[in-house]
Amino acid sequence: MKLEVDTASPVPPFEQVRERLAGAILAGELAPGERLPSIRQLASDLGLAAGTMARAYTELERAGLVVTARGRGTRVAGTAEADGAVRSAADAYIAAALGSGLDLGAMVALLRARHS
Amino acid sequence: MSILPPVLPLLIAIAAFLVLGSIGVLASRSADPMQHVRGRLWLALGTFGAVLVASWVWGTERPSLLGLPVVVGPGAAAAAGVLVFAALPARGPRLAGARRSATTTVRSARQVVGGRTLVLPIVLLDTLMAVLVATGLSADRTGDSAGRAFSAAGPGVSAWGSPYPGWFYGVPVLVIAAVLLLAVVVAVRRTVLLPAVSTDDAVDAAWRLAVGRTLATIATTGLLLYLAGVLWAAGVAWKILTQVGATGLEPFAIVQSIVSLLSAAAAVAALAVAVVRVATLGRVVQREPVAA
Repeated sequence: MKLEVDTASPVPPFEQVRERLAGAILAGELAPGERLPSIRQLASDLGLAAGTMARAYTELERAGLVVTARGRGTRVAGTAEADGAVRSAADAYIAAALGSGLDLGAMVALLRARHS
Repeated sequence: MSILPPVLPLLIAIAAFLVLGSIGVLASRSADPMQHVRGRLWLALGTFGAVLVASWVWGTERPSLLGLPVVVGPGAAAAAGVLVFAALPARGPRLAGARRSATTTVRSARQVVGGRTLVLPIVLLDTLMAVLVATGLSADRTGDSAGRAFSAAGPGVSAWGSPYPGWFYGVPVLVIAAVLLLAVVVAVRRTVLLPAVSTDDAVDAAWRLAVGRTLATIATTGLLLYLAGVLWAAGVAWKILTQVGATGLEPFAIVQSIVSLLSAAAAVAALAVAVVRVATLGRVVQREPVAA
């Protein structure tokens, strides 16, 4: 899976990484039990500080999406993937939003507003 | 007579090589990861050459050390070169541009030393250990030259040959060989953490393997020089004994001399391979830039 970060974006890099990984896990792009790269590897590849990547991983762990164990690294949690009904609803939401002319940022903002 | 004047141009050339390598590494802070790693490898090769020459000069200028610096030099030079590569910051150059990309593929040390990369160094290390144990056990155990001479006695004849690779030389060589092995492990771990040169996993893996092979070749060069030196010293000592009448040693002396020469030739070839590998590192992959 490809991970992209735009350091010029107003969204902090750790949040971009967290959001991309969370999305990939919930969408089933990253399978349960799949190992994620080490914090140092991702930090090196993206030219970011290790602390930035550590924060993204910590947030994912708090959300129950990944599990970190000594000696086994960080893996996608076994129950992290969204079930079929949620994914279908997400697909329907994306289709409707695109039909209404909303871009990704607007879709996420709307979801956040509804969630809170 | 001092040997410094003849080797001075060589020392200057190596020093210049190191300086240029360092400049290359520093300059590549703003270039792509490939250039940065190539600079590190040049620096490793330069360090190898500098330490090898320095140990040789030190050993020949100080006869009281009984040639120990010359004997341990090749492995120490290889370990120093590999450690210089490993010691530089793993993060490498600053990535240019705001948009960066990476993959979630987990990298491992196996990617860097995959396949048969370490087979030759391990075989050489095992052979070296076997030879050193054999020569260590057959060396003199008493007297002033204990651990560094070999004696033989025949009917009415008694003689000894030195220097001989007994424990006096063998133990430091084995210790340095262990340090070299450790240095390779550290360098491989650092190579895993080098920034990716491509988001194509196959391309990145090919490049990392090329770096691992270069490091293994530097280690191989040191081990081949060790083997050549140990066998040569044992062969010479035995040949001296045959000249004063000791029997039964001549075939061993001849075989050891031949294998020693072959090892030395292989060491020169391995060094040439390492230089070519560093020079052609960029051609290993048709890469796409990590930073857009």
